[in-house]
Amino acid sequence: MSQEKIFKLKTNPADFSVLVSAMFTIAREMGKNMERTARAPIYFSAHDFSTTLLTLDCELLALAEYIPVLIGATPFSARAVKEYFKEDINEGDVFLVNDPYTLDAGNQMADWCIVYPVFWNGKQVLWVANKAHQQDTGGGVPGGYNPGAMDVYGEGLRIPPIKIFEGGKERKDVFNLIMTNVRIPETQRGDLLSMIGAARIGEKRARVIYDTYGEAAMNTFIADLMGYGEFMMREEIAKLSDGVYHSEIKGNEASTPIICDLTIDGTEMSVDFSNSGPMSPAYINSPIANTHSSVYMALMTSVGKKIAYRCGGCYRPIKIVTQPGTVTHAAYPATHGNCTNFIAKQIIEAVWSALAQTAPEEVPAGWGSINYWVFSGLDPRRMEGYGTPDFLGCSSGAGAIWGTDGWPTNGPQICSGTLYYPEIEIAESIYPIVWEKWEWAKDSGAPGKWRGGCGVDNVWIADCDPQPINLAYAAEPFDYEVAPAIAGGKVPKPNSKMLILADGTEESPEQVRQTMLYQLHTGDKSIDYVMGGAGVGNPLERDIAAVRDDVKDELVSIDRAKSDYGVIIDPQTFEVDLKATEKLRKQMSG
Amino acid sequence: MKYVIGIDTGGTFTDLICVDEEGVSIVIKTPSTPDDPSVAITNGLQAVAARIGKDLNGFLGDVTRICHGTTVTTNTVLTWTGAKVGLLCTKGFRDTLGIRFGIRETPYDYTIPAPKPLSPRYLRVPIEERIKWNGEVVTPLNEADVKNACKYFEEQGVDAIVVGFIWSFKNPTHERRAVEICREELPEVYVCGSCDVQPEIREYWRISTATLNAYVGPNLSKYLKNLVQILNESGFEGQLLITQSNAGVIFPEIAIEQAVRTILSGPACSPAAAAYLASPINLKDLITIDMGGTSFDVCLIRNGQPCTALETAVGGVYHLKLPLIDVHTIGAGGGSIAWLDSMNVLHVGPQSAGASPGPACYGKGGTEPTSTDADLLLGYLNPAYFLGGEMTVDVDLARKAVKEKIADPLGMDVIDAAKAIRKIIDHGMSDAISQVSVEQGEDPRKYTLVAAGGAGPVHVASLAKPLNIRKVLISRSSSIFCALGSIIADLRHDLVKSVLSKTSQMNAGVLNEIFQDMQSEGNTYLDREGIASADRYYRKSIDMRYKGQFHEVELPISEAELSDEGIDHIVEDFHRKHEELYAYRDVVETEMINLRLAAYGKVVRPARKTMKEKSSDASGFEKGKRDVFFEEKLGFVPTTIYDGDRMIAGNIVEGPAVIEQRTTTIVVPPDARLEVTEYGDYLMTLE
Repeated sequence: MSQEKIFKLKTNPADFSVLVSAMFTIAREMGKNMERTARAPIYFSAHDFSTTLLTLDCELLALAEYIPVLIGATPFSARAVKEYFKEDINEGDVFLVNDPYTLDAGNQMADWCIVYPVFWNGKQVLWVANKAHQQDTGGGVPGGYNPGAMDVYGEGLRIPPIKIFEGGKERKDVFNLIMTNVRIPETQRGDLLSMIGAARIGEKRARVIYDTYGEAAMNTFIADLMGYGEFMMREEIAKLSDGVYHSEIKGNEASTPIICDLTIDGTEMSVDFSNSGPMSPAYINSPIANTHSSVYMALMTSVGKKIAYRCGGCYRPIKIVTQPGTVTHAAYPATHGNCTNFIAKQIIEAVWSALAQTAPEEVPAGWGSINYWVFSGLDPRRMEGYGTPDFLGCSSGAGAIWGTDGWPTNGPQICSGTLYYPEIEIAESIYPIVWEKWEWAKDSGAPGKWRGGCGVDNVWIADCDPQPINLAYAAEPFDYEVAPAIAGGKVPKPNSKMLILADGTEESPEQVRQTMLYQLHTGDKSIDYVMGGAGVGNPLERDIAAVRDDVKDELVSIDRAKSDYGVIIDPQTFEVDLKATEKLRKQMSG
Repeated sequence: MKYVIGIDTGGTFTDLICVDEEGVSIVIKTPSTPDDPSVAITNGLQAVAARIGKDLNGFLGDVTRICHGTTVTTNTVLTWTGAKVGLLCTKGFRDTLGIRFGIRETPYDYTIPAPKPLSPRYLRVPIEERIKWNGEVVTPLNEADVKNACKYFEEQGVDAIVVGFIWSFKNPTHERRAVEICREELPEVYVCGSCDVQPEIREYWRISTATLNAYVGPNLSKYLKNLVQILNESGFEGQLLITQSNAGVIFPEIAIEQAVRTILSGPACSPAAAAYLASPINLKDLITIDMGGTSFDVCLIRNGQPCTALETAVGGVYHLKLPLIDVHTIGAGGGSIAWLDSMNVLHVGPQSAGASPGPACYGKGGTEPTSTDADLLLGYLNPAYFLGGEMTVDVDLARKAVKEKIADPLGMDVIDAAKAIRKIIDHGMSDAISQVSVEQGEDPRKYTLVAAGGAGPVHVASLAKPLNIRKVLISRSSSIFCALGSIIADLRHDLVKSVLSKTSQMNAGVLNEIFQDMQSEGNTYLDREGIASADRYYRKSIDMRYKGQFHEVELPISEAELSDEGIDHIVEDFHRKHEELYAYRDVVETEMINLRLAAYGKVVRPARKTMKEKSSDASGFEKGKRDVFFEEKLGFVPTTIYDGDRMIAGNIVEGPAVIEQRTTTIVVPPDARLEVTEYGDYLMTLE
């Protein structure tokens, strides 16, 4: 079962532990700095960024735990910079990149990456790569989510690898070109400075470590850490049964399927998406960096969840295969703006689905899809602009995992609980909106021996006159299934979105999906149902007391306790009729 | 003779310090009695009385003040033994407490269950009412809803009620009315409103703080009422004061109302004690470290003031927002276990062998090698003089554990393995110190390390070195720092008002008016505590940020700055501090988010006694030699051992040396020099 312990650390045990912890501390310190100084809500509240240290070969050395789905993409950005600038990389240079179609540099255009070479004694020793979702990235609409874009140009400004600081000096012309092409240059400049400030702090700390240990010892340590990650991952893969596991995530007829063939062969794994459907006309196509990053997240939340140091070595035994021109490998000039939200989720869940066939106890069930508007406009109280996703509509439930119920209101899946929802008082301070309801929706967590986490009812009323609120539908339009529901667990009831306008007109969920863009005025009401997560295991085996508690807490209705779980509960006393329950459960399983 | 007493209830020991008018102090450590902590207190007081030569009643009659730090509230949360809490919430927002703003602490590991809210959903009752962002009433309070909820709570046997409505800090009328109704309907039940616990914007944080308050309130109330009665019956006529997590003290009646303010008060008074001890020798910039059996606490003190934080999570998951002493804790202590993972990588902690079974060398059945075992093998600790000889430890057991669990699998020598354990745990601790100073935008080199806790002085020199810290202070009373910190603490009440305004729209008039209101509110507390006007003082601060930022920087404000010209000064201060903390300043507009005021009442601090005897010659206190490992010399060196309990002021010891005291051991490396101060503390200088 376990592989031979062929790998042996060359660094002495004390130095190895000390250096690993020192490297991860640097990544965390960079993250903390960005978190506390950034402006854009998506960045400080959604934690939609990542801070990483990379080896000279652009393998992940250390990272901070912010949004997991960006982690696997920073090596792509650094590799592109390295390949493009080759010998022309000097101390004090700062590089910026976002374009998915130049050297596979970016995962999504709104995610800008600062790539920073760390020099020590006049020689480059490491990379810092800090990536963050920007408030705006130019293009056809504010905020980088443009469902109407015909190609990548409509989605934003393409930034191939460029130098924005040269030898420590800001390239004002280049900076200015970039800032001239985004809508809120003032805050975005602040955000970039915050990313660069963090990188400089990373460099400063890394140099102290190099001063102490010297380059040769550090090179040995880096090789050791990569070997450690590789060994740990191989050990986990070795526990899985050899074989080819096939999964498909499908949606409605307008969708394109995500197809995964996952092969386990000893201590190696291949994840092949070549058979996925063609690129979509919608802006969800996944550039290769996004696909790779999603696969890594899928693996690190399942087979690799207990690995302490999630470094690049963990990725060495994994081979990812894609076919350019498919939805999982977007080709120029396809639109892709929403790929981190939607196709990333389906890629992750395709990997989980495949793994669930051999290791159901190791794999999470699917999460609810998020269901939000992007709203923008002028706040009449201050006459200031706003433009942002409604994060309160992102609060879907998490899938269960063997032994544990899914967490409620923990979405989006790709953030894995690193998105901080603005509280109602914050949301009402920055948007001209009054919320009527934001609480767990009954029966939203899908049944299972371990139940999916609950989603919410998100209801609000515009309070914006005389300035309209512009709404853009940003929820996934393809009804991709929530997968996997493991070992007899169920899938959750899907999302819906409707409007009731002040004059009483109702826009049904179907109409809303067709129309997609609205202008609201004071008194218009938006009603979202944000779904819960999928369940694990047969609901008829769920602990009866847990079902009763859910009913008492009004998370599961009395009817569904009976129809889903086979538990009969008295609506007055909440007492369980054990005899009747036993009989019903027997009948239902038969 | 009159006395002041400090009592700190810890997990293992209850510490007492009694100081008389001349500054003579008596220190007692007695085993804690977790089932009823007042038993240990009575035992300790009896022991103090006996040392003075009086009976308990006679002695307590002469005690003017007892300052008490209790872990009752912290333990209530950590052990899930709090009140059954009902929550009245605004209709439509029943799950604020459960949603926890969406955070998951372990983003890659989904096998850890979601934390259970301290008020379960079936006890969270929606009430029809709604206030808007500007304080305007959108939906009036439905009082019948509140009354029905009270009936339901009564049926359910609820012990405490929280009222937590949206925007209540902006317009508290609904929340206060609901509180009033609950008190009328259920006079026996503990009731609090979120805006009376922490009137700040962000409903999750406010309601979570208030729920913690309700969860621990009834337990604290029961405990304190009982303690007051015991003390009174034993002849105590002075004032009992309770320590808070902000290192100030309050009257027991107020502590009961604001019980949440005592959560995490455990380590809060220790930094204040350090500041107090260091001030007469002119040390004002300090970093205190406290290394016990399982945890390592770090706190930075700038210009005599311990740094404060504005929020934390109790037990890692229950959030509270209140000013508190910013003590950073990691899982590193004498009991931290060294272990190998599946790839034979060596880790130390965070698991600890605790006090039982404890380190392998204790011989109480522990077989895991710990930090203490490594320290013993390296010669730092004296097996024959452990806890002043009250306990014996076995070097062979330590060697066996380190050999079998670490050295053999790694194919290394036992001593090399012990060195590796020591190096890893020391790195973790110095990394924590570095993190704390970095977060405060400070360079640790300017600071003096103050070491406390049983294991702190054994490790402190090794921690100072990589940080280039040259001065280390070790107090003779370092093992009872919290008790000492409580008797020098002033009364303190924290108030806050959310203003959410661009700085350009603020003027001195408005600021002064709000601060004035807060001061009056603070005075109502100080009035209840009978503090004379002359003994009152106030500290003001403003939380500021750049427009659009999410996090604020707290800036202390002087009276002079509360003028229209002064505001420019405040803004400049903000830019400077932002740059210090985050390496850049910006040109955009600034915003003021919260105004804060702390109202203080001075207490009379006991005098400090200096040592009468003085000499630089410490040779008379040598008690032998043993081989001790010091990294610098790459090996073991014969090292002189001193009897710390007998040393006198002015004594100078050149390293390498080890000073043994009853409660701790001080390791002096070869290139260091140690001097006993006139107060009997040790000041170590590293080269």
